[in-house]
Amino acid sequence: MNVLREKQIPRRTFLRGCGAALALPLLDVMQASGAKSVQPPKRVAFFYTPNGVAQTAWHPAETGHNFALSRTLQPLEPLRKKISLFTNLDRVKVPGTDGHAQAGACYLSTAAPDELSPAGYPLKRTIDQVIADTVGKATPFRSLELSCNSFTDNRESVYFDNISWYGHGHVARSIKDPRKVFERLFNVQEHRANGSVLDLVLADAEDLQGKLGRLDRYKLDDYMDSVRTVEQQIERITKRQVDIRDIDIEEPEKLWTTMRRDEYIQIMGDLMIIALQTDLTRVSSMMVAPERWSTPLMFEDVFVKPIDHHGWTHNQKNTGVLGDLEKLDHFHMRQFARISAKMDAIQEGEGTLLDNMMFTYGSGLSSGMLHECTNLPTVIAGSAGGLLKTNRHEQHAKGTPIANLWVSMAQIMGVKTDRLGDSTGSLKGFLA
Amino acid sequence: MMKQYCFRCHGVKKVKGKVNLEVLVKRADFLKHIEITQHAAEMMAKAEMPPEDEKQPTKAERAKLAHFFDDLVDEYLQSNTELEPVVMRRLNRYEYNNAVRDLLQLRGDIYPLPEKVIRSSNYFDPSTGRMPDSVNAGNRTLGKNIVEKQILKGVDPFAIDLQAEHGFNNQGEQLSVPPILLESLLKLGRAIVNSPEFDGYSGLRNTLFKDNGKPVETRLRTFLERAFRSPVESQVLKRYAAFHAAEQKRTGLYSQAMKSVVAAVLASPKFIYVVESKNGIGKMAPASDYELAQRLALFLWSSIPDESLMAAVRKGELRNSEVLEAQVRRMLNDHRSRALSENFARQWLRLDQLITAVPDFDRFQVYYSRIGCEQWKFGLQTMVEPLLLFESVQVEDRSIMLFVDSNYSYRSDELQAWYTSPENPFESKENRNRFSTHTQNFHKRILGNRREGGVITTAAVLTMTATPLRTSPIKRGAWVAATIFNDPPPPPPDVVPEIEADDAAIEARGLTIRERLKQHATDQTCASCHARIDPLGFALESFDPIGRWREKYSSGLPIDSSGKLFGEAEFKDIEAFKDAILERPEKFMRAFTEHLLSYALGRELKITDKPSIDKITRRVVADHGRFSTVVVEIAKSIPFRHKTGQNESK
Repeated sequence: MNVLREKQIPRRTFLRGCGAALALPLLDVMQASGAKSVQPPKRVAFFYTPNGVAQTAWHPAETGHNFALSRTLQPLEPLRKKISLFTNLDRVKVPGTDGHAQAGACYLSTAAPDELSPAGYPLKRTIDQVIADTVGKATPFRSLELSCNSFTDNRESVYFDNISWYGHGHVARSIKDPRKVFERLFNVQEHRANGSVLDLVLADAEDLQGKLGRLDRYKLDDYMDSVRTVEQQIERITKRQVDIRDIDIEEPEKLWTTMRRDEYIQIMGDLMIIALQTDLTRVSSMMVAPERWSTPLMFEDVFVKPIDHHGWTHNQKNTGVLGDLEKLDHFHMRQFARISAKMDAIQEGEGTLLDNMMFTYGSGLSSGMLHECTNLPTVIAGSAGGLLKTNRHEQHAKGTPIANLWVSMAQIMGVKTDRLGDSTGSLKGFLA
Repeated sequence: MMKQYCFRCHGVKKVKGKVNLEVLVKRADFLKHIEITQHAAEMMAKAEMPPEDEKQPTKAERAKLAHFFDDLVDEYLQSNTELEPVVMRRLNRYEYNNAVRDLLQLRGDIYPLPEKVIRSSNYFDPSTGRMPDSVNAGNRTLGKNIVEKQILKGVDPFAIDLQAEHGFNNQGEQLSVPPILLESLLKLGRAIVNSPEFDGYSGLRNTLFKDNGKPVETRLRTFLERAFRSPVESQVLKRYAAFHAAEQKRTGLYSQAMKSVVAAVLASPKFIYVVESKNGIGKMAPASDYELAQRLALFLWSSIPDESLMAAVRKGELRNSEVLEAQVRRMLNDHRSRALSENFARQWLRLDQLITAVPDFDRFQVYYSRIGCEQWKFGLQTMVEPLLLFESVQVEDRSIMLFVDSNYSYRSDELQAWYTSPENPFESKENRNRFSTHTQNFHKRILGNRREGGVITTAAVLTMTATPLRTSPIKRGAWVAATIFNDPPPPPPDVVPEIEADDAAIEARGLTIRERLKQHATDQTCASCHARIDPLGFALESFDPIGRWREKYSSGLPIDSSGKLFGEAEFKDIEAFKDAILERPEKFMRAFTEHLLSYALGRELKITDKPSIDKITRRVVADHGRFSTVVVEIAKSIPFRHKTGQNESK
């Protein structure tokens, strides 16, 4: 099943029912700036896979331009001219907390390893949120966090289940139910109704401010930030209410916990694409599954029985298991490639939506076996409007912080910064 | 002496478990690294160190070492009495449901909660002091359908709050209000009061929501006091009254305007957060009466205080120990104390993990309701059993040692057959619906043997700690260590060699899982931890991966479930294992106290809580583990009745 009526997301899905006077969401942006040949906005999205990847099948033998794709990267072949692979990018592991929780919670974290939250994680505002602070001002939603975690037990804590954070203790909680995503993106009426009591609850929050201790005030700040975010959302959504109503798609029918694995990921991908395409947001992240969570999970048509991804990663010395793990990685790469291809089918200006994206595939671990954080698997699809080199395997010097990549991406997105977390600068050779 | 017994592994040359004792020279060093010192004291007390295969100190030497560490801990605690502050948290979704239900006097829940394992409550009446012998209990086998069904039209729960790694889902650090949650809360408030069923569902229909000519401010005063669990300032009252007036003007309806007020209240930080006012820097101060009432209601009911508690607060009586105790006992006798089973016990036992357990479909067909249908699991009804045991101990105010070993259990006929005739539990009902998936009748059954009884050997626990094709003594051992002894093992090291997934493959090599794990543990880095964890799991080896008794492995190999507990108690089988725990009741009573205290406080416990834990445990032991004694002593304890400053200078 597809969220969309059409197989891809053609323009006419959005043109349908729109008179000539009614601008497309994107045309709005273009017209506002008054020029004819304005570049469509750049967007950034993250596709996170947990527990690392099987190493041998991941790393290609060649580097540089037009490199031969490795086995796991094969699904990217049709898109090879639009992707780039990065190796030797590292995250610093901090002892004392679980390797998987840290992989998830701190992957996009901009905190240096010595900046520990009370919970013991180097966890500050994550890069997607830093970017959203700047580019999120232009769109109804500052960012959109999604997760394909369908586990119904609550085996692991919040740190395993979220890659996007406003700050420590303040999670940018992801939505797991596609219908809830749909509802959030398109139900203008509900958003507007939320506005009626915001002044009242904000006044209550202000009452409390002076009465609370230091740590509690910090928690209350989360609430007040959220009130402001919701307020801005309502204002911007209201401005866009007509064109949002005209976005002609169907609500996902099936209950999310009964979807096939590929179906679930693709529907979430579709929702992400629609949000990005229609400029409802320019920043999104998607966790394809949570970290660790050793609960057997079914991957239809890939394995006959439910499998434990995390357990497997620790048993890679067994060649049979390794083979299965590679199959799983290949499955995830196919999902990434499919979402990328859908983005590439959407015309935007001279190019496609994908061309204007930096759609990043990654994991907070390289090999799950040893919880390694060096040489993290990193692929970027899209070129941020032609700014990036593509069709390349860029091998960096050993020990290059992945934070350097985040700095470069933030800069491309217009964030004025030259340092984030443990970065040592921007990423060399990133720009075309 | 430490040089002789400890430094080989915890010294300058080798630092196992990140513990280096050799650098600690002076008493001051030990006091500075008090976490290590306390850990050492525990290791001595439980005789877990030095590991069995290392040179052992004599009894006198061990006592001397233990005394040395204990003495240091005591010295530390004399000058360090400040408790860890509780961080302000928001209500989790279970508490939100209860709070709204009680505030608006609803006839039931506002939304279906998947976390509720037992789906009926009419049998639960603690005021009788008797658990009925027969209980009609729905279970979550049909979970997803029930979860989809709304109770109030348009009212959906927000996303579940996850449990802390070794704690509960009520810790401030892990509960915040991101924008999407605020959106959900704003929408929820509206959806509840505007749902078509609401008027018939709320006891306030003819009071709060009906214009009786009295000023709105007067009516709101009581309502807001209860909703916000604090005295209502006049400017707040004015604000809400003004909002009511504006809404009445807009809608032309008094009751609709009042509904808008209620919807706002339900999204207010004063309702959503567990607010306590700040107190001076670093000092311990008694919680105010309002705050104490709020803590009590959350602890015992996962809800807000009721009128009786508020009356005690207004009279300023709650800080009086006798009044406090009387209130706690009254609250325990109220049906709302069901929350202890629904919220605490479920999390304490980590029962949710059963939901996604997938015993191999081909090998364990009986786990599944219908032949050829993997979605419907008979096995899920086993979740009900440990919870009914918990409720019986709570309602009848019996000893918590029954959680270790009881001579009775509540089981449906099918579940009873599961244990007693594991080969053919469903008799002739092979290919049809094997049982009703809605409700079953659970009878109190006196058990015929001692291997059954208590929570540890329930099918639910044994299944969720197994893997699809074999038992996992490591998982089972880790569960026992964390749940029964509150001594969770450290996370596994980065290198985790996996064991074969199928016990048939292991047994084909002529090995039992136990022998296979022994090979695994010959690695020095693994051995010392596994020496702690594995024996607890081996004790349960006589139960197969779905919790059925077995005399030997399917390959015919014999089962060895013997071991040693606390470094002294040899056991040969599960019965002797339970005896070893029962003979040292203080260990389990302390552990249970710690779990419940952490739940009651909404934070992790720290070393400075030790004197209070010691005191509560002493009283619980003296009272032979009576359930209400644990609860009352926690409510009367210093950490529960006080709050700590939050170091304003930082």
